[in-house]
Amino acid sequence: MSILSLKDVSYTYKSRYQTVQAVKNASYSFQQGKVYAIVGKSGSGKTTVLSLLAGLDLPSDGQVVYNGTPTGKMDRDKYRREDVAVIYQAYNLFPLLTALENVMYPLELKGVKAKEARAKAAEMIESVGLTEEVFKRYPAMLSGGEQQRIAIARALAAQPKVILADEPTGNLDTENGANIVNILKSLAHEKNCCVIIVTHDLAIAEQADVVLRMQDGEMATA
Amino acid sequence: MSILKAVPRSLLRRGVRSLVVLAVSLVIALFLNMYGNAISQHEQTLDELHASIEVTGYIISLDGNTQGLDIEEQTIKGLEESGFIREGIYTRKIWGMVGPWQELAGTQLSNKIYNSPRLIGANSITTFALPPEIMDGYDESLFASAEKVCLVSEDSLGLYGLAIGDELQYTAVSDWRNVRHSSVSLKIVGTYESPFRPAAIYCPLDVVTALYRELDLPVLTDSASFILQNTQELNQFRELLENLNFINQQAGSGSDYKQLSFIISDRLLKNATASVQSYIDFTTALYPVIYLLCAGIGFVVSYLLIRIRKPEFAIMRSLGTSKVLTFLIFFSEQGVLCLLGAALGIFLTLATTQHISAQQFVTVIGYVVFYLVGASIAILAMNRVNVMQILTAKE
Ligand SMILES: Nc1ncnc2c1ncn2[C@@H]1O[C@H](COP(=O)(O)OP(=O)(O)OP(=O)(O)O)[C@@H](O)[C@H]1O
Ligand SMILES: [Mg+2]
Repeated sequence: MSILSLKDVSYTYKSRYQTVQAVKNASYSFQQGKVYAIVGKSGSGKTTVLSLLAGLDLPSDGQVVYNGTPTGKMDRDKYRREDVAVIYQAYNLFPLLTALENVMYPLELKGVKAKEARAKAAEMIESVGLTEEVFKRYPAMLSGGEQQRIAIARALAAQPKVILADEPTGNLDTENGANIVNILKSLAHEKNCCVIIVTHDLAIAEQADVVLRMQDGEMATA
Repeated sequence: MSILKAVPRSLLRRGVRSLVVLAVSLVIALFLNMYGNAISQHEQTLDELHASIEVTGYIISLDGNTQGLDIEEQTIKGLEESGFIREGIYTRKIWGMVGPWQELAGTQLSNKIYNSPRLIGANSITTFALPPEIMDGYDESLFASAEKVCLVSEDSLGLYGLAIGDELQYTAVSDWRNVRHSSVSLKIVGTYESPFRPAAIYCPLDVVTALYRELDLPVLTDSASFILQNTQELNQFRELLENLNFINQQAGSGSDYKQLSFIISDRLLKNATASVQSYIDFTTALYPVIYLLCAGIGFVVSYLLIRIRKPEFAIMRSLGTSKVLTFLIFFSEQGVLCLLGAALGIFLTLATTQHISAQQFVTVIGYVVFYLVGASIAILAMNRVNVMQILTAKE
């Protein structure tokens, strides 16, 4: 069944100097239990669509609907806390929190007790192929790939139903990249999550259940 | 998510950046206190100067006389009740003759009175240029009393065949036309030197006042000089002088020779206090500016320090931290540092000067408020920007 859908979604970035229409009339329904890949040229609007799906902003036109409720009509803080997680191109880790604390953050935000959160966070970090060694390191003391995996661990920690990933393997070697993809695939196929991956990597796209293509802000099934 | 845990952790990890806020608040609190202290110290100095430098004043007629003034009773009363007079030194004279009343009239009477000494009442020995000689058992304080005693010139003793310790009878006369007279017996308790002949007889002020009353004459004062108090408010005193019909000498049109001026000898005080006063005036006038500047610095510092944390803020929001919680976290961090800095500032002030006034305390609190308002505005402004645009912005 459809968990998340775009309904005639358009989005325009407005700054003092210019307005950019980054998404134009995108419509699509995402199902639980499937992996989606969104591909397209740089600047075609992939990150923008992902951000709208994450409820970081509302579409200029149209609606993003989660479980029947448009994001404009829900508590989007709660939505982001409990239902959706985003893995960003730029990691977006807290620079002053250790790797472990970064992963604990969404858990503590949900009200999980510190001890439990720590155990859960440790488990998540190990599941993305990192060891205890990194727990106490700050992001600046981690490689790009390690930061990426911490970001993924943080996204998975709160057990969201929708996982949005922006180039999640861009900074990983083939082996680790494949690992991550496997984790994401198993979350979709075994935990019934809806996984949406923005990627340039055709190898990843091939593994997706559905591939969507974006071009100049418009979206179509490939 | 516990603020109690998150805030101290962030403060400690931000290290130098936390110290900046702390230091800014500390320095400003210290500075505001020092500034306030400097003002109050100068105010204290000013008070001390006013207390220690004596300001005198005296009444003078338009033609420059300080005696023979006929100052009315209410004028003296008005001055004494003004609160500005610490001490008034008065003389009051009455005409008459030595000895009992003699049935004289017209020119004979006026000649007699003209050639007789006047009786002058004084309430202070300072009336005499040279110190008089006073017999044992009496002293300077006799003028403050109402005792029937007098001082006469050396010449007069011989003239009237009297000696120290004798009683001298003086008959006061009201005026030429409707002649009334009254006699008083005064014990001679001393002598003074006088170039005049006939030289006046001096007695306590109250003795002469009593004669005035007996003769049913308006009680006029011959001369008056003063030691002033409450000299911080001399301008107020000057206003009061105008209300008492004293005229300003400089402005004096002087049509009526009977009009009186009150001269305040405050040059010494003015010279001594001028620089302190102008320092106080200047620093006090500058105070609001300095204060706004400090508050402004607090405002800007807190604003900027929060704005540079936009990325951190965006991450918090993207993970679903509510606006309220983000506000509380950022605000408490700033609040703790600012308060800590201000408290240290106050503590250091107390450690160095052992004193902090309520006003200074309020001032520092005012700064803290400004700082926190700056922080709040910065956080609220940040809460309004689009998280998505921060997060997707390319480095
Ligand atoms: N914060 C912003 N303000 C203004 N314009 C923006 C902003 N972010 C993106 N854009 C513009 O919107 C369009 C879509 O951007 P978007 O980041 O969604 O592209 P993308 O497909 O993710 O590209 P890439 O593959 O390079 O990440 C682009 O033209 C971009 O310049
Ligand atoms: Mg992108």
